[in-house]
Amino acid sequence: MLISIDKNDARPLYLQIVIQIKEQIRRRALKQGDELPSVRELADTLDINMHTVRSAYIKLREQGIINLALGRRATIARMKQPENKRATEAEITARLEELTTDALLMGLKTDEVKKILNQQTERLAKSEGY
Amino acid sequence: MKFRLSNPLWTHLPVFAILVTLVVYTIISIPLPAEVAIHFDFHGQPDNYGSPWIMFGLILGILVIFMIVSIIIDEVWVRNERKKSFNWFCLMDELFGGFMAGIYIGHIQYIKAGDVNFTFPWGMIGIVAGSAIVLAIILELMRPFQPKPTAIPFSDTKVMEKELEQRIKGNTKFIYWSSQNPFWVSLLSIVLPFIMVTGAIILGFTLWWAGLILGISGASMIMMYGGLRVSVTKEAITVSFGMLGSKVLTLKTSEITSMELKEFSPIADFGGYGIRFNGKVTAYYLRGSRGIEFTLLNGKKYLIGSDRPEEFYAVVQAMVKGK
Repeated sequence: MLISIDKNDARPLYLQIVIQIKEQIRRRALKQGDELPSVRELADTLDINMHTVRSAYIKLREQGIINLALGRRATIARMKQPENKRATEAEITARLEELTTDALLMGLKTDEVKKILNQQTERLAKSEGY
Repeated sequence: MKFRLSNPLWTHLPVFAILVTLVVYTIISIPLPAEVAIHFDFHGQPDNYGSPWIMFGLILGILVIFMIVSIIIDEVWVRNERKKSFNWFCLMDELFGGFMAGIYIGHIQYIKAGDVNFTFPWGMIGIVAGSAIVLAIILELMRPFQPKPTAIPFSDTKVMEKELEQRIKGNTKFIYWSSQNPFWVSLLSIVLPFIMVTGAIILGFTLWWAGLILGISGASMIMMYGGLRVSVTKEAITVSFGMLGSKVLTLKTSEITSMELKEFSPIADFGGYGIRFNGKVTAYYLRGSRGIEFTLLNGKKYLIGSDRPEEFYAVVQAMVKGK
């Protein structure tokens, strides 16, 4: 597992961790049962606050991506197939709606938003390993 | 995937023969008294009584456990064998099995003879264990050598290195993390200490010092829980071990002169798993047979095992280049 923190990245630090862990699970660089570093270790190495790492881990736990228990190391959880596909679709639609609204508010055109979405989807589908 | 044993099962025939002999010997010795002396002091005086069938069950259980352990050990040996070599471990089950069987037969003879004092049956142990060991040596010499299929070559790491270099360049902070925590480590660090500590408590009533040693040894084995963890940062490669994550190796990146992807044989090259030294290289691994060998400025060599050696290699390469 590789986690890097780019302080020039506009996204919050906790979100950078969350996205990278999710991405590595998707690429199968991380699999069920793989151990994650402790909150302290990750915070010390990345030179960030422990609360930031904890927030990232809690977010991942809430989404059922990692197992997190007191006194035990965080591990990658068993990936569940969506029980309710419609609910999943609705959640993704809501998130995309928020993003699309932001993009349009920032002055992008509909075609440009579509282009970004297509590029990202293709990039993620191609990438493997790290 | 179908599981196939590389070591032929017929190499375990001697201990199987001991097992059959014991069963047959017990059957022909029937009837046995309902209660017999089952434990003796140093002078051969009985100090505990019980059913002879307890002895039979115990001896059978021990033999079966030794057989299973021996099958596992011999299988690991054969799978790691680079050229035909004599596997001394294959004699373990015959030695212990023969020893236990010798005592058992001597005990049955003692019951049948109706003696008061029990004389330790060294002669019988010698006959049973000796013949089993001779047979095991012959079978081990007859065992065919099965060359391992050609190892899978390491894949090219250049593309991965380039991607990683881009990602961790400049002032970006990063950590690469991997762990090796096989099931047997969890088993050894939970089940064995539990048995040892329980044994220590029981033993503590009669031999407090032996109980204390056993208890401390058992408790210290819990520390193994968690396995081996490797982390790579811009400053160092760190290997930590066990429940407390104690650092067992820190390689400063500035001290590394060269690194190489290595395929090794855990048994033939290092004699097992864990933290190992073979006179030239200190190795850290709990599973697999692949890793990276680092050479330091002072000439010392360290091998760190990895489930994903190419990835590990690419990270260190990218990190060194990106510095």
